[in-house]
Amino acid sequence: MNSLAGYAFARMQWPGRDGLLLAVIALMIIPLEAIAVPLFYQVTMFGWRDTYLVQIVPFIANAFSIYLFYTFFLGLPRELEEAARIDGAGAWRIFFVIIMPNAKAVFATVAILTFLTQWGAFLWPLMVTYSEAVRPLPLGISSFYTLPPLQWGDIFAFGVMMVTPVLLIFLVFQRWFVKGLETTGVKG
Amino acid sequence: MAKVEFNNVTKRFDTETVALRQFTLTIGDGEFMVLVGPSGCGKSTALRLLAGLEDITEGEILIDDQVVNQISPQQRNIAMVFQNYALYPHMSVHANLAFPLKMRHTPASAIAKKVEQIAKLLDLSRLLARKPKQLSGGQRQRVAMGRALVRNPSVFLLDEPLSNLDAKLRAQIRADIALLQKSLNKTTLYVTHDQVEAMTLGDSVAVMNHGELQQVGTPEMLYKEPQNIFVARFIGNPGMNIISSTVTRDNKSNIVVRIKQQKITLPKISQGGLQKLNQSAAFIGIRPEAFNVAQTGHHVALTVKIQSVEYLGHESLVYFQLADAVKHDTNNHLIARFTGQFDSSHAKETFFVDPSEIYLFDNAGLAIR
Repeated sequence: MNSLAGYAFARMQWPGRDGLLLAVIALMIIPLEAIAVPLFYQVTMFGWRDTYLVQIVPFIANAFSIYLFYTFFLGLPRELEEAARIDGAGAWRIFFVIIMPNAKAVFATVAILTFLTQWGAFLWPLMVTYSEAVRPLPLGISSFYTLPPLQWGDIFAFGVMMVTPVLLIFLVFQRWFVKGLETTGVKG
Repeated sequence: MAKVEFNNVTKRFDTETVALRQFTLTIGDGEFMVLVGPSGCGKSTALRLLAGLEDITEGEILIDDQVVNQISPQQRNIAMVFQNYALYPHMSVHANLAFPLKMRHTPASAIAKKVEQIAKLLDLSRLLARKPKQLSGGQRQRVAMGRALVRNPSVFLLDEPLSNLDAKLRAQIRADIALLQKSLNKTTLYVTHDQVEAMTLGDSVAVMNHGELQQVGTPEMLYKEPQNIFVARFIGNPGMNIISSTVTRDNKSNIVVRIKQQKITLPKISQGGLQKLNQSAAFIGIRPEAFNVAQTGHHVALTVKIQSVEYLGHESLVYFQLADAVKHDTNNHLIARFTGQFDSSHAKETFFVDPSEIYLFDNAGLAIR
């Protein structure tokens, strides 16, 4: 979804494009804390509280991810799409067969950044989830902070459990991640 | 095989930017037409309009007498080679060549056969498994040509395909393209800013400037009979020397050209030409290769000051100015070309020119004959 939006901003001509792009860029500086309360009311209206859905759907479209894709697509030679058009490919096929395979690095970057953000999410799950079944690990680890004496051994063991998947994922995708940051011109 | 016509085509990008103005050009069936001009003259825009990559503001483009203004690029049956080749980086050479056929739902067996045939034609058979980044510039260029040829298009478009290659490879591939076009006999529109490419490749050459067509003709015609100063300067390497002068007629009705203190009498010109010459100010043009150091026949003499000499082995380029020219004068930067080594020991020289090799242009820059 973010890649399609980034592509539409970078390559297509449509009324209101520049204004909307500015809005997306402006959205990047708005923190979750600023929109948490209205968002809470909205998901309550949908009856999504205490589900996985409430932790996934509001974060699918992400201004920063759109911006990453947008900057990458801007740098991609336009001739690739034009050559594909002349060769007989339609808009969707150009996107899926020509553009997407060349944007692997950005997809990896977006995947890692989104994963990191969601893996460490605390405030939003605290607001909208109650049952252990759907709560993420940061809320779990906070339950160890009870009255003294604190069980530091358990806390650190839990911490290692939390960090290990992140490290593994980063190691696997590191090559793509670095390439993605290079190609989008975004510095971490 | 197809005939291509541009009929009064205008392309505006916004209210102020006119990339192409009332452009009319016909490319015959199987003809190799070269569009040449400086950067920003509208030649690539003309090509992109024909490819369908840009919309036409006014006028119409016809392929085989059918107006294609509203027809999408994929339905025009044209193929294009881009300046940066635009090979799909994630696909192998084989996949790149097969892509246009796949898009047209060609059966796999026919694709394999056709790709093999094209690879053989362009000497790419060994490279089919490689990715574009594993190829040299010349090999990439051949793959781009192959991808354009593979589906047998009726019109073949090339947008400065040699500009990313080094000089030696450029000359070689230029010869290959000429041979290929002759053997396939495809209608071809080739865009370049390099007049050497234009002169060596094209059956016909169309010279453009500021979005307007200046002249269309065979390379020989453009060289020998330029219609205006722009074409005279652009065609030829180096281009024609243009010298501002005043023109009068003597009592025998001969044309007398005065350049500063020097006087040249030219042979009689046509009555039509004479009528155009009712103004006193005009320009004369002399090709660098028209200068001689020895006088023969009725050659006219020009006294010049030599500024510098470039020795190129088989020839020398002599940079000079007219003896009475002042600094910052437009007549100050003239070039002569001589075979072999030029003896530059004399600072002041007399160059001789056959009067029949002197071109006359009116105040507006149009040729007078």
